[in-house]
Parts: sequence; C-alpha cells; structure tokens
Amino acid sequence: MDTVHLDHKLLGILSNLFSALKNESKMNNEDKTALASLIANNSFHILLVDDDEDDRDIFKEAIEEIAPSVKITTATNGVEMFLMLEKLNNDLPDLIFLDLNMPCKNGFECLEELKSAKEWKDVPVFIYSTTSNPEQINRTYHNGANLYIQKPDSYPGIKNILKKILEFDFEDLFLQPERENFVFK
Amino acid sequence: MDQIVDFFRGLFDTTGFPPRWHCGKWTEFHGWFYIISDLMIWSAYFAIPLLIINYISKRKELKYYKIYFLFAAFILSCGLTHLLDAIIFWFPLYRLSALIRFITGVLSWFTVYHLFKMLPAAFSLKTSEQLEAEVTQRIKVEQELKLKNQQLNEAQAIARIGNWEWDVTTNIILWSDELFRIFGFEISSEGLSYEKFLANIHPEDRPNVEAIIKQSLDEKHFIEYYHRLVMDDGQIKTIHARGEVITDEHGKAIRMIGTGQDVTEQKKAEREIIIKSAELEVRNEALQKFAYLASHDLQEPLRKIKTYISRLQSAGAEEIEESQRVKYRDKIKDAADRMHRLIDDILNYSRMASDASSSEKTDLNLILSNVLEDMEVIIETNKAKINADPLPIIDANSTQMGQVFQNIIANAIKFRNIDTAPEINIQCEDITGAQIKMDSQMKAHYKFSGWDENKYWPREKFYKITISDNGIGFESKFSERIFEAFQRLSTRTKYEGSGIGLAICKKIVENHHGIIKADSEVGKGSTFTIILPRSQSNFEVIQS
Repeated sequence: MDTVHLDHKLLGILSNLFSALKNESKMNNEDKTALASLIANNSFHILLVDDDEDDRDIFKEAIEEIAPSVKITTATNGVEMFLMLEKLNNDLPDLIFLDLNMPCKNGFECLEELKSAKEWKDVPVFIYSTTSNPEQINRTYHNGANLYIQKPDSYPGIKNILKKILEFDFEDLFLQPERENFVFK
Repeated sequence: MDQIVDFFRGLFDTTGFPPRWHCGKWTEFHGWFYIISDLMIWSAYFAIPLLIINYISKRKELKYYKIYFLFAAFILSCGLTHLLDAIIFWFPLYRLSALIRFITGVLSWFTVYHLFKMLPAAFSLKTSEQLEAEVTQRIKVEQELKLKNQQLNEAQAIARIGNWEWDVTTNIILWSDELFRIFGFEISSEGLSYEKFLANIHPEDRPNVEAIIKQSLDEKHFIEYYHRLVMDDGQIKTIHARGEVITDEHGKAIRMIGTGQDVTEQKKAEREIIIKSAELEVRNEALQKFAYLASHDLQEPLRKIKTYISRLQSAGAEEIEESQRVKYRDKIKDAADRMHRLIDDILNYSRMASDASSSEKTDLNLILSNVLEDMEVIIETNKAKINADPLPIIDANSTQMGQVFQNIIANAIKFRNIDTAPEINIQCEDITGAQIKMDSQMKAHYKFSGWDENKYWPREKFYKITISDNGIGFESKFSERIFEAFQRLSTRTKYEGSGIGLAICKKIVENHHGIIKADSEVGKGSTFTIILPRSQSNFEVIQS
C-alpha cells in the first residue's frame, strides 16, 4: 500500500508539472484539471495505435462527433508508433490508445517498451482491444497500462466510452486503478 | 559241592547210565521216530539262527540288534538240547545234556527279560500298514510339491519374475529357472557367483547396483532398485529388484533373498505414456491458442458488421451522406466475405490436423504443374517467373502437397517487391537420413525396426525442396511465428488472407513426417525449406 501511495504522490507531482508545462488554468478550486478544458483549448492529443483500418476510422469518426477539437494521430503498429513518438519528441501525446493484437510489434511489446523507457513511461496508455481473456488483461495490468477498454461492438457504444473518458480529470489519466476497476465499463 | 565238581568232571562220562535204547522198552519204530524228530528240530533250530545272523549282518541299520542275537543263541541252544536227546540213544551224555538245558534255560530267561524290556518300544514301532500308508502319503505330497513347483515356475515365467537366494558367507546365489532365463544364462541347479550375476548388468548400472547391495547389507534392509541388462544379442532389459536381508542371532547379515522382475515392457509403456502425455499437453496448448486466435479473428468481422449496422441505425444517422452509407454497406459485405473465407480456412486447417494423411506414390512435378495451372491468372497479372528443378516422386497425399505449393507460391507473389517482378525458384536435392537424424522433430515419429537406430537412419532417403523468392521478406525473428495460425506480420488491409495458409503448410509437412522452415531478411526475399521423406513406411501414422 505504501508504494502505491508513493506512486500516486509522484504521479500527482508529475501531473502537476505536466499541467504547468501546458500553461493550463485551473477550472476548479481543487488542483484537478478537467480534460474538457484542455480539449476546449485545442491542446489534447490522442495517439491511437491499431492495425485495423476500420477501427481507426470509426474511432476518429466518433471523436470528431464528440470532441472535434481533440487532435488524433494514428499508427498502424508498434514499430510505427515508436517512430512517431520519436518524431514528436517534446510534443508527446497526452494519451495513447493501444490495440494488442497487431503485426510487427504487438500491444504487449509496445506497452513493455513504453513503460520501461524514461522518456515515455509517463504517457498514460489505455489498452483498446477486443480481448476479454483475463490472463491477457492481467498481463497489461502488471505491465503498467493505465486502463483497459474492451472495444465495443457498436458505434454508440464506442461514442459512449470515449465520451466518458473525455470527462475524466486530467490527473486521473495517470493513475492505475485497482485491478477490479482496471477494465473500463 | 562234591556232586557239582563230580558233575563237571564227568561231563562227558557216559558210565553210570545205559544208552537210551537200553533204557525201557523202545521199539525200533518208536526209537527212530523219536531220534528223527529230534534231529529235525535240531537241524531246523540250527538253520534258523544262521538265517537270523545272515539277515542282521546284511541289515546293520536294524534297531534292537542285540535281541536278534539273543534269539539266535536261544534257538541254537534249544536245538542243541534236541541233538543231545538223539545222541543219548547211543551215548548217554546226561550231564552235558543237563548243562545245555541249563544254558538254554538261562538264555531263554535272558531273552524273556530283554523282550519284556523292549516291548513298549516294539509297540511304538510302525506296522507295515502304517508304514505303507505313510509312504503313500509321502508320494502324494511329493507329487503335490512337484506340481506346486511347476506352477511356481509357470507363474514366474508368466510374470517374468524370478527369485534368488544369496548365501553371503559362501558367495553362492541360487536362482530359480525363470531368473536364469531373464538373465539369459543357461539354467543350472548349481548356484552362481555374485561376480557372474554382475556380468550381464549394463556397465552404466553396475556401480549403482553394487553400491545398493552393499548399502543393503550394511543397513540390513534391502533397497529396491532398477537396473538394465545387456543380453548377448544386444537387447536391453529393465529389471526391478526387490528383496530382504536375513541376519543371524548376532545381527550379522548372512543371507539375502529376493526377486528380479523383467519390467522392460512396463517401463517402455511408462515412457510412452510420459511422451504421449507431453505430446498431448503440447497439442492441448496449441489447440487452446488456436481456439483463442480463431475466435479473435472470427469476432473481428462480426464486430465490424455490428458496428457498421449500428452506425447506420444510430441517432443522427439521417445526416450521414449517401457515399458514406455505401462505404459502410461495402464494409459490411467485406466483413461477411472475410468471415466466410476464414471459416473455410479454419475447417480446412482442422481437417488437416485430424486427417492422418493417406499417402500414395505422388509425382511432385505433376502436383506443381497443376498448381501453377490453377494460379495462371495471378501469375500472369503479377508477371511472375517460376523456375523449378525436376522434383521427386514421394509417398504423399497429393491434394495436401498441392496445398503446400499453392500456399507458398501465392505467398511469394502476395509479398512481392513492388518494383521488381516476382521470381520464384524451386530447387530439390537428395539428403540421407544420417544428415537429419539429429533432428528430434523428425525422429519422434520414426518407427525403428530394431533397437539400433544408427543402423536404420542412414538408409532412409529424404528430399530437401527449397522455394525462394525475391519478395519483401520478413525479419528473421519471425521465422517461427509465420507458421502459427493467425499470426500476421502485416496488416490485414494491406495483404489479404486469413493468416492460416502457412500454418496449414506446416501441418501438412508434419503429417508427412517432414520439416518446414523459413529464412528471410527484410527486402532480400524469403526461402522456404521443406524436407520430406521419400517413404512413409518407417514412420508411425500420426494420430491426432
């Protein structure tokens, strides 16, 4: 419990730093920042890594409908993602949606590499996969994924989930919930 | 006193008495009748002791030896009194007669005394009926014993178990017949030495056996063990040894008894079970993985269909432009097609997995030309060039072999280099079993006709067929993964396919007891190598 607590503290500090970097004004009296304010400011950036073209299109369409000002970048596999991250360098995405089953470099490999690289380990990673296999979910949990989202099989379902996520507080993106809340509902 | 002295002095004196003829009125008949009867008694009484002495001199083991002599002496002296009675008809030796009668009386009483003394013992002696019954009983028991022994031997032969008894002090081991048979020694009722027992034990096991026996002796407790035997014909047997250590009153080990059982078959079966269950585990794992991946890939088009339909039905759908609608409908149709193809391929794959290929003599040249004919359109549109060496005739399932060529060639064209026309080279060379016998995968299903596999491997003939292309290639680290079902190295949308083709190839080649591998480097083309045996006859049928 202690280490978890410490991690949360560290993450809190980090996120504060992050928000300071973003020159973001605070919406509430508390030191939490609703994503909505970042989005409104055209400064929220999502990187979607998915090999499935249809899924990428649907995701983009849904985001466009809910929050057209969110910037979306896409990569079709892990290799492409890392090339992209290197290119982005200082302007890293605020959130990565990561598919698991991909050619070249699959989601697990990507997650491990992301979480073990000091320049990227603080970027929140949401797993975005069709897998419901608990073993695979556990694996992503232990490798430090911040949330697990099972791809909905309907368009309204996708929109619904994305809407909820975009209502998060910015700081909450960095937390890893308890295992029972790890799979997003 | 004087009378007694006179008596012995005149023992042979005949004076003072008339001969019996002259004493009283003997008629001739009466006298001779008396004399002859006496002589008959005497001669008989003389013969009987002779017979008795003759008898006892030949039966020295007789009990109550003395009484026979007494009897002989008593009868002999009785006889003498009758002889004298006859002699007295002419020579009146009445004094001698009295003395002999006295001696006879003493001997008689002596006999009576001894008879009386041995009577209880004589009563305890077995009668001949009793003895006869005893002998009959004994014969019966002996027969039963013989039968039991025979049954024991048969039981030992059936169970392949023999027993032994080792006298530690004399170093002689007594063996049952079956144990001799198990060890491959000639059956002998005489024992074996410990050294001889060790002689046939596998050299690698000998130190262990000696150590265990020594420890058993030291601890006075037999430790069960297994060891191998090398028979004269080179056959290897596995023996299970069990036993007991027997100690004397001082606690010193003096004997060891035990059994040796030939458990070669059991051990073989045990090993087979271990191998088979390991195989089964691997298969199960593969099956689970397959089911997981298959369900994942099957769900993908389904999910798409549902998503696009929900998109067309969702709130605000009226605002979707017509061109967009058409696009969604096309996507739905594509997804359905994909699903259809996938189901076909999965069926094909699983059929391959369960179908132990029925093989026949197959001309691979014919198979290849049929495949190329079927692929004419795709070959021409891609301007692909295909060069092939003459191929061999092998034991194979022709349809399945066709699928292997079809899949690999289609792959080579699909993953072509966009700037250069695809060129595919098919080459073939002979290789011997000796060259590949180190490959455990191929060895696993090889059925040896003898124990000496080194003798059989070099005789086996194999062919190495390589199919190389000049396509985009792949990273060498994926050379295993490409043969796994549903493991695409590229995005589906870029290269169409179910992701199962090479998995089918692998299955087919393995069903033919062969190996398939792929080598490649990005941008430098790929080479698929297939090694197949010419004949399937020395390989077990793979049961799925």
